[in-house]
Amino acid sequence: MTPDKPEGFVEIEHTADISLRIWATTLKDLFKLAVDGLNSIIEIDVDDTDPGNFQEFYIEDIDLESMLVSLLNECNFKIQDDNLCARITEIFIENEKISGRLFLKKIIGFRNEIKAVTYHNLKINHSNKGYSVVIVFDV
Amino acid sequence: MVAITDFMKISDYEWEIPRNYRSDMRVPVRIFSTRKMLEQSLSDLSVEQAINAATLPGVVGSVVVMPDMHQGYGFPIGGVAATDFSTGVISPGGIGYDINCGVRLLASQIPYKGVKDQIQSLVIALDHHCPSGVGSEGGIHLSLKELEEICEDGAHWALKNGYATKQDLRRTEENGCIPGANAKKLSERAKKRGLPQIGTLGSGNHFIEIDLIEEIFDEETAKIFGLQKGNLAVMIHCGSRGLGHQVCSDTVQSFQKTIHKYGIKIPDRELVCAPLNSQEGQDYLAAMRAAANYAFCNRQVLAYLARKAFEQVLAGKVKNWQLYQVYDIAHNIGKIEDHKVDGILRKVCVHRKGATRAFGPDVSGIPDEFSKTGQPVLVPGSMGTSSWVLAGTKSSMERSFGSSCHGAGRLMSRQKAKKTIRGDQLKIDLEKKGIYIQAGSMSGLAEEAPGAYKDVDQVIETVSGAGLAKKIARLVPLAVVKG
Repeated sequence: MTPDKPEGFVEIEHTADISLRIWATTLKDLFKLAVDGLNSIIEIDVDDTDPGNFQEFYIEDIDLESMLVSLLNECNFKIQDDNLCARITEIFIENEKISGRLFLKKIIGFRNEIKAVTYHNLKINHSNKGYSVVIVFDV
Repeated sequence: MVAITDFMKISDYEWEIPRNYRSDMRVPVRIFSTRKMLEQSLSDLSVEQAINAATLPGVVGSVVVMPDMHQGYGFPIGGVAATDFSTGVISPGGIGYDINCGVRLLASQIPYKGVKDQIQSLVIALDHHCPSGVGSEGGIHLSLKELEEICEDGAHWALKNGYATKQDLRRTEENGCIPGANAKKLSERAKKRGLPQIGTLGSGNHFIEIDLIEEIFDEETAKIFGLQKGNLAVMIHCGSRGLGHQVCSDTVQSFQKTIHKYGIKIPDRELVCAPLNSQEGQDYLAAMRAAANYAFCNRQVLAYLARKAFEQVLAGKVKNWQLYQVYDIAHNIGKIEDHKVDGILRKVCVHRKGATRAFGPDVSGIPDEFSKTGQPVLVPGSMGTSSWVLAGTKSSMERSFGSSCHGAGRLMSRQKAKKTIRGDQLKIDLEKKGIYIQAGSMSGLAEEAPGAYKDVDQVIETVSGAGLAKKIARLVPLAVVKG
């Protein structure tokens, strides 16, 4: 956790790839911020003329970490192959499934490419202050 | 944290962490490095990652690490791990997301002196012909059937379609096609990503470079490789693009669900794996080979486009402007090979993650013309420093599963590089040194600044001092297209 802000994300040192530390008071916000962090690394220019649209999502996997990787991979794919930038507007988390709504806007361009979201030392930590995770992205 | 005192010194260039360092290690870790470079490597997680790789079921011999090592995810970059074919596992994280990322070297009979004032035109033409940068798409529009052919036939598809010569294929690792690839094992998403990207460079550390062959260390071998001092060469560094990334992502994700049924315990989830003889292991092997073949074809099409660029600028002005292939090698790959382990010949799956195959003389699997020299080992530097051509040795077969280093190796994080180096200033500085740069993004250029990398010459001194490869030629950059 970072004491001066209840939630956020920050890039931390990694020799070759990009490592992002994300923290939030709730698990839902952690997932939302992880998607915002991904978008921030990629440095996306969204098309401001596009009104955007909503899309439902549903992910089932073996644990929270796998669902987080799945969600981020999904958003990364949307950027690279569908030219759409996603933000979470609504999210529900149950035992081994997450669902919710993404708000999608067209992309004009982006400056960085993420090859993959990795599982390297991936663990969502929970304390009395909230949730945190460090994600390594292969770039 | 691992300390320098945890290592046993074998020689000035070789260090070992014994198997009993950690209770879950199955084999020792053998690092080829100088003391100074090893101490540098202890500042990140690379050694810990090599120790983690030494816990994989069926791993044999030692986990070997090259001097260009640095922290990756799961495996360290510069790591080589061989697992027994019958009892071992295959780990997609030990091969990497950019499956068959590799290097191709094209040489020429073009004397630098005669074309000194054409270098800038050449790099502009290369940039024009070879699509690069984030999200780049190629000029070849593939049908799904053609994509599947590429994945199963590799660079042979390029030969059939006029993008390659027979010599190109002969001088490509595995002749540009790894048998056993199966496009049916690719997800729809992987195929979708592969369709528009054949013949594209991508971004990150990928590049096309025009080099000057500045120094020859072994005249006889250099002649056989086709390298002549004072002439131009072209180096291409890229891989399997989005298709390969997707294959690895799909598999790392699906193996998370299946690893438990095999009772495998791993210290890091990115090391997730499956037994080689399981359906999951075989399916990944077939998909990984398909991605590797896509990468061979991708570099082949880029070589064709580079030749077009040279033709456009030099045809009619220079007598022999053609580019001919020296070799093409993979440095992120899993290969089924035979190696002697403790004196016994065993069939193993060699995971090379940021390590280059370096087969020595008289080893099957390399072109006939290299049977007496060993295969060419291509080691790119960083934009402003040397690149090297080495030759594989008998010693590499005995000590590193026929492997050597793959580059300079990163030293500085991308974040720090962007904070301390300005891309536009770097471009000016390199141009003052006579190195022309075509880059899509100045921040991307800063991330890949020479200062962010280790000294490639020290890496080469280490692998040659250790006997893993022999110095043949040193190249210096004249112009770079950065992805």
